[in-house]
Amino acid sequence: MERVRNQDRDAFAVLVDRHLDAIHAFNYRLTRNAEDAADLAQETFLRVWSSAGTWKPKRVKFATWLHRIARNLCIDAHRRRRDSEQIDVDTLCSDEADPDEMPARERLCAALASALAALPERQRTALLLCHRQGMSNRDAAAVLAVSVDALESLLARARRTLRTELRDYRPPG
Amino acid sequence: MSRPIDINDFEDALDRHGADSSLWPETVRIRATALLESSARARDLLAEAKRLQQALSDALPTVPAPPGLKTRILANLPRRDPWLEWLTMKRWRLVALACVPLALGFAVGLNVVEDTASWEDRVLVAFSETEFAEFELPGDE
Repeated sequence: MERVRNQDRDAFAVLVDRHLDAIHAFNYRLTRNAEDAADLAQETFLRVWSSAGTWKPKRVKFATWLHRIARNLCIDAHRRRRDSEQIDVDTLCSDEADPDEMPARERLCAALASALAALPERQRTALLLCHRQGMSNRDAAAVLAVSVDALESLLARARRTLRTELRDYRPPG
Repeated sequence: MSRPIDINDFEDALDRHGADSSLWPETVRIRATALLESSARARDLLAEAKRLQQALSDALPTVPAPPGLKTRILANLPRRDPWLEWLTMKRWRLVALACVPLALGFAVGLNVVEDTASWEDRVLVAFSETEFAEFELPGDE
């Protein structure tokens, strides 16, 4: 990162290599749109390049800082596109399902997608950071700029809501 | 042997920390283990939390970045102005820059030699000369 601060493009390429998939996936899960996720990932890294000097390594981990930038950009993009937002259930479900289980699985997936989309943004982001981005509660709290206790409250509310929503979709047997 | 955690606290811990008990705080985990041994309700809650975790994994698949995105990012890197970046890195530097004109004005003001004749005096003299010119006495030529 020190080299990136000094405009070292090779070092920046390594940085992009290391974090692009994670940031793209995070954006995709927040925006639920592949094109937006790619554009926002690009914007995130360009922001890193132009603001490398503002990162405080002693205060916050790089991955945390990066996710914070990505989240802010996603929120801005969401505000701009609020009216046209659509939940694409198909893109939220993976393609590895056993065909025999498809109907029940699809229903579960659709229910979860709707429940996730209906969560307040901070609860959804908290859940994504801890569940899919592999962050600890402490790091996720830093991304959201809240205390660990507040983060855990967000997680608790999100999980409680999802559990309630999913109780109707118990697997057969 | 630790005293088991209360079932409501257990549910709260599940919601706060997730189904993977290795991520729980040590003290809570030990007391939760004691509860799990004795409570079928606690075991049901844990199973439900694990099911939710699995459902989340299924519903949120890993999505790799599209090919070419990295190249696109690197091709669009703007040139940075290192001086501008140094200046904006710390807020006090911007404040210091904003104070430069003020300091310059102050320094110039201190070094100007004071002119004893005020502008009022100059105006008075100018008007007086005009009046004398207009009311010349006959035969003065």
